[in-house]
Amino acid sequence: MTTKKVSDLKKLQHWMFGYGSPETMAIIRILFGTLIFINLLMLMNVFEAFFTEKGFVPVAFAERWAEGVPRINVLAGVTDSRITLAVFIITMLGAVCTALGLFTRVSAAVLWLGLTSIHHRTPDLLHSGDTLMRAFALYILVAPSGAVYSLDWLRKFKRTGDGTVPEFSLWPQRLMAIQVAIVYFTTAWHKWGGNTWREGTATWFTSQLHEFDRFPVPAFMDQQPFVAILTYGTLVVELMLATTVFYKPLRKISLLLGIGLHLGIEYRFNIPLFAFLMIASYASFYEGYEWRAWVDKWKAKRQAKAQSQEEGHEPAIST
Amino acid sequence: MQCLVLFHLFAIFIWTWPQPSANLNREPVTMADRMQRARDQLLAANNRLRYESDFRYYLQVTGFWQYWDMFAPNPSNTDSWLTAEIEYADGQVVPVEYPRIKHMPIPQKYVNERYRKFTERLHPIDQSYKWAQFAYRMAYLNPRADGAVPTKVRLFKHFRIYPKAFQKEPVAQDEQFFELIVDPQVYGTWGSK
Repeated sequence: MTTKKVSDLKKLQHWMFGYGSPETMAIIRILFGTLIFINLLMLMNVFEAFFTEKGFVPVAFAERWAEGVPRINVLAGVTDSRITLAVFIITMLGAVCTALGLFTRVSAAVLWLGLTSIHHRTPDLLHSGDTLMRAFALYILVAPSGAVYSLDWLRKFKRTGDGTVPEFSLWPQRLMAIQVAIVYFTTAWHKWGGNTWREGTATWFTSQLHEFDRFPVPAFMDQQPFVAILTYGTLVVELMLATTVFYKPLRKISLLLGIGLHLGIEYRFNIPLFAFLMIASYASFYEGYEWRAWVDKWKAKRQAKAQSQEEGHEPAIST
Repeated sequence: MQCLVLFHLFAIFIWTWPQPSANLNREPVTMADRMQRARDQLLAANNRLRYESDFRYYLQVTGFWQYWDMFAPNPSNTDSWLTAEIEYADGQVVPVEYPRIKHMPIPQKYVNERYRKFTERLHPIDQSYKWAQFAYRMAYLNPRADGAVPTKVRLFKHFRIYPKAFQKEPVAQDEQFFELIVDPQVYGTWGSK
């Protein structure tokens, strides 16, 4: 192996397993904890229909779906809906505590176990957003996600007076980022196998699925050339979010295009929370020191504003 | 730890690969056919690894399994919804609708989308073991005022298929896919489950 190749491999290893500040993982924890809580709240709306024996999906269906493979599922064989409800409530509590960063490691473990169990209890309801939530719940659990921006940090600070945030190995954050890239790469790959994506007509078909409709769009968006632009544009953006997003000069544009794609889908189609989950996952592409710099800048602005209000004039800091 | 992380990434990545195309055994004629065949053989080998070896336990047991085929390989070309007919001993037939997202106001759509998702996993023939439960539930949700026990519940799928892009909206088709002969004892105790 040449010296350059060895050096590149070392760089890659440093990027994957090197040390850095945990702000990114904390932000992911807050965003995903909140979104998972909202998702569970929404599932409560269909609790009787899909999580009880008198609903559409009794627990026996999950056993059949599992095809004899044991699954992590504290609800396996549970036919008493009061126990199922208790697991829901404990998982929601886990989500709230995870978002707040309170007893973070335990809360995140409860959240991951509860969420995985709920998913394995009724897999017939799951969509891609659920899969992403489950994957990120694990990454939040193994990451030092409560080390900063958390009640755990505050408790430690009050107890010891030490507010410093140590550096941690960044592999959980890299797992999150690579996970997001895998989502986009494989979905683009799957799509490339379909003739409607290659012909540039795929988004016309999605627009005809009226059970998905939400807000109306102008008629020209369902006609050529707009359909082809949206179809090929989707593939390009998905590929960018799997590749160029790791290249710093193109990171911002890749993420902005991704946000545009998901907000467009969110506006038009009824796919609850998926856009917000994907956009939240983009936080993993920024380094902890970048988030810290933004937070410090925001704090400085607030401080300057408060100071100027006390003195009775406009803030001196430029925006 | 580094090995475990790399193994995890490898595992989730290969679990997400697409399925080989249906014509795996077709003799290749053109260069494109040969490339397609090579791709399919790779995907078939991947299927053997992920579904037939013990490797699958790592993902399936833990809930690390994942598959990202949103609107792929093609978006569905079928808009569909479900209804039922509940028949009583006196001959009355009551049509009822399974929650349909299209008929809901926007905030309701958001919190009830799971009903639509479930229809995707209900109708295929290999899911027929779910139909009796579905039929009892539909009858349970729509009781007659006099408390009469239904004798039959029929399930219908309604669908519009769009075979080609940019064509006019096709006429909806209806298909009865199941008929349940109601067991009065099961129906009578449904609410206490």
